[in-house]
Amino acid sequence: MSKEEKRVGVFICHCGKNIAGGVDINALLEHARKLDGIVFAAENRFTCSEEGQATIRDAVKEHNLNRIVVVACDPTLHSTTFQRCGEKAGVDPAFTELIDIRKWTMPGSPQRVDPEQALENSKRFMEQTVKRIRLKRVIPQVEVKVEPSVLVIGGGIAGVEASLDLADKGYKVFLVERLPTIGGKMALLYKVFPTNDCAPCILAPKTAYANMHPNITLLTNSEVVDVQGHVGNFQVRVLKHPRYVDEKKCTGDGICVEKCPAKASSEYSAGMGKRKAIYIPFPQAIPRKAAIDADHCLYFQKGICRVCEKVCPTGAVDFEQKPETMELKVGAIIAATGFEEYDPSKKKEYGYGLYPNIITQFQLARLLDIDGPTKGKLLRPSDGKEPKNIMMIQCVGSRDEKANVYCSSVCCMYALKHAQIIKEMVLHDAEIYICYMDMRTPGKGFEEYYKQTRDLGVTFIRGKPSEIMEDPKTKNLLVAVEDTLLGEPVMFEADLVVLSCAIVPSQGTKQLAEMLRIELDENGFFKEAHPKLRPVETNVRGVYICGCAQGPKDIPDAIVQAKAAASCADSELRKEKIMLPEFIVKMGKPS
Amino acid sequence: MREYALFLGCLIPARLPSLEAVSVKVLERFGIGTKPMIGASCCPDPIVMKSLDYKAWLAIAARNLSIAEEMKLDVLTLCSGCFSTLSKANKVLKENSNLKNEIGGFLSEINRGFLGTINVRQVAEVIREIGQEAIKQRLQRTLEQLRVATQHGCHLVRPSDVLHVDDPNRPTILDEIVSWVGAKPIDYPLKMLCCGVGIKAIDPETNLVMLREKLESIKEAEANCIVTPCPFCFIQFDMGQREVNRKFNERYAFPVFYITELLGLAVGLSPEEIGLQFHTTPVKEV
Amino acid sequence: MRRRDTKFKGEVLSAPGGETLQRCYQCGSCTGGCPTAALTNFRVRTIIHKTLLGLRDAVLSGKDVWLCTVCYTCQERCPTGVDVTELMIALRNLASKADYAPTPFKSVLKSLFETGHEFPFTGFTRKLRTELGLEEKPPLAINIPEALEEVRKLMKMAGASRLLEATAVKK
Repeated sequence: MSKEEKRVGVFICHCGKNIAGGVDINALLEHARKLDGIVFAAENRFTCSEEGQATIRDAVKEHNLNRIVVVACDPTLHSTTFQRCGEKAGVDPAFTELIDIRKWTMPGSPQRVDPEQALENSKRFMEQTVKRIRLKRVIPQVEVKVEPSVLVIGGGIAGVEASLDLADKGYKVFLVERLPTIGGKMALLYKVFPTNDCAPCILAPKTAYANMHPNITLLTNSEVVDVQGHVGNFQVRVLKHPRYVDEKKCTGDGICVEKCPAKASSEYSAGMGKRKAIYIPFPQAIPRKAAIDADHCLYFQKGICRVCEKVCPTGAVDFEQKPETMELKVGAIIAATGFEEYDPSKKKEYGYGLYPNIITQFQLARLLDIDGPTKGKLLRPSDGKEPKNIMMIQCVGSRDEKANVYCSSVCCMYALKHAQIIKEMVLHDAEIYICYMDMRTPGKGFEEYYKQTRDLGVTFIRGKPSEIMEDPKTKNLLVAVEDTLLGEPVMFEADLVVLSCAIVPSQGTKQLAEMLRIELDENGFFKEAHPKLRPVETNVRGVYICGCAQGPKDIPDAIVQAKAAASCADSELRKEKIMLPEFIVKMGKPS
Repeated sequence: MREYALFLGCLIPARLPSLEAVSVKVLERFGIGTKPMIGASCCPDPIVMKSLDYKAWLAIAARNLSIAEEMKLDVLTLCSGCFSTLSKANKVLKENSNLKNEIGGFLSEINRGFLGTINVRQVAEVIREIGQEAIKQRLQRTLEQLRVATQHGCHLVRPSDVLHVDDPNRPTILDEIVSWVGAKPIDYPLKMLCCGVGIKAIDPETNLVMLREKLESIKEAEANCIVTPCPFCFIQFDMGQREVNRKFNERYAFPVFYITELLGLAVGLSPEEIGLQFHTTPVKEV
Repeated sequence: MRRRDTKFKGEVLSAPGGETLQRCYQCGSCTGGCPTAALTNFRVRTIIHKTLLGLRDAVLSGKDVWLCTVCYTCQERCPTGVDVTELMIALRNLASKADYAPTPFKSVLKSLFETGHEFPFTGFTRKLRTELGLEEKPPLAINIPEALEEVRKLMKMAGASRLLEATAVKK
């Protein structure tokens, strides 16, 4: 390799005006021709085009080039394009490089400089790259046998969809979920927009199949605690927390739940209702098995009771159950850990947590659910009366410099959904007002849904409320808001206020990102490899992300991403063997 | 003995000197010494002067800060307006190098300079630092008959990127201090509403309507007195009640206490020693 | 048809306090919590919108900009990071330069220039201070000529005293 003459070709791109408009291409070309080892130098308007690539291949053949340097844009965009192009003409991909000078020339680039400076920078960068490519040696590659199995972290709709796709393709799937049931948030939404389908009903076929699929191993009540290895061969340690119920014996008949004397606030009711210490999360829970919450169980706390054990007909209760550790070997990992609701008690001016009749949309969803804590009756927390004037407030914790700057994508739609449910099914005569800054309903069928909601008589006030106070006698809320379309500030009296809160990353996202060695974006969601071109891949080969773990989105988009992630994993794992560089760099934590 | 450079401002030394006297007296009792800032002027106020000429406002504030910097002491203000001005000026000059240079230029013409070496405190913060224990130990009088509507005022806690005394929307610092002295803080819906003094000269009608709303809210909550750390809020309530009564045919008669007056009562100073006789709305409770 | 001044926005953006003007997305959180808005036709959101549109005369000559109580509620509530109150003060500064400052405010400026303080120290004050055991004449600028001179110099350098002279002539 080192004896062979290094014949370098340099291809300078105009990128239309993006580069040519900010640097003197001719001067750069002249400079290139003077460099050692340059056999050929040319310019091109759009090097990444069919035409441009053909120029490279022709030059390689004509001038016997064995090293290619393309002077153009960000390597993450087109490295692969040019490497493939070079390969077609016989140049090893390791010896084709793309360097970015466009960052210095393009309007809007934060690193843009004036043309003289851009020329200087580009000349030096080009020189360095040519020198380097002449010295470069290919890292030896090893052949790695690929494990035809995938770890999916998170059992919500995205995780379930990805698991089903991969399982159908023939891979073994380990679906790890930290709650005792899969289904995630979708199972608790009651209905979904814009079809107003029953959420658990359309979810059930998928979750049921995931439970039965011969290729899927469901690990509920479990967490990933360590990840080592690389694509094709990840070693994952999973900790299965004890549910104190033998899953093989439990039939889900619920007798234990009936007889249990201990109660706790139910996380599945978003704090609007209670469950027992031994519980089945909700009727459509999968697997339909009981679990014991040791923090509220009388036996674990005080050493008494054990009624559940006595009444269980199959003897499934097992207080001696211990946590189990499992070591899994998988070829790829998909993180689908979903989201949580922003906690609006941080927004002190709204008084959430201080005033009982302010709830969040997720809490409202649980109240409206006929299988929920109030069996579908909408009763306000302070006195159990049915509200007559309901005000919904959008953008709580989103589009907010003090909370989260992003738009949470789904809140406009789910507010409309709840307004429709209340008007059509629960309280026909209730007055519903939605305070918004902008109504964002872009998806398929969404504009029609917005119209439907207006036709039902829901009123829209364009204005973001400044603060909420409470009438101490009635516990009604006094919402101070300017109706900006009227130009009038009003003090609006509502007997129930519902806050549409932002979607935020699930707890544990940061720790999982560290374990997987993937990045987080500035809002704490998993970061995609490229926001436009590679939305479900990460900076780590073999690790993919999908669903709300990557950013706020609705169910159709979560499913699309899940299928995309599954497809990516399939592309890697369908080969029995893959080539990986012999050395793998291990990065320690900065001290 | 903790020492501060005492910034008096204008309103207190010129119109409410009893607040000056009682503050110095009470703080001394708790081991807080105050040294006069020789040659200090108006802060200048954050509403009128800042609106007419920002640079003059900033320069005069910087001059006041430089006096304290020479004394190598943090500034203690008795007025929330002074607190707002001096804190904001301190922050702007520390962070904005253009303004720092420009104002620095003006200051050097009068042989002064801004160094950015001290901080600005408000008397309510300093009292909170004294702590519940120290205050409880010196209590000499029961004040449990006081049902207090606290008026934190706007410039004690906002804007929250400049002032870090308490939560800008639902502060509790005064309610805490009130409960430490054995009185009962009463919550009322319009607690955080501005006293309106900023528009008193521009639109006196609206100002009185605003004041009346506050007083009505205090009445409905069944409080029997008002406590505030700012002399502007103090005057608005103490003297303004009379104007509101006249205009709207009302009978509001809430005694108003400045924060160190309340503390003074708690540690056993007599009403005359505190200067309660100088209030417009009579104080009969005690 | 209102006349637009396309330079107005730039003037405001470069004034201290006006830097965040363009972030406004007109949500109305500011006006919703404004104590004056509840009782008058003062609408801080509309003033911002007019400023963005360049309606210089309407904004600066109106009495509305002077109706802000400077309570900072709007600035605290704004979700998109506009320093609403500081912006209002920047507009007032521009209005002052254009000679629209209200008379009661100009009197305060006059008192500051003449005595170093915004409130007069009267004979009654001095008597009261003595009764309370305080110094009759505290060591403030009003009682220390060199200090007062420093304050006056600063006001002249910054340009505020010009405002005073201009207004004196107007009267």
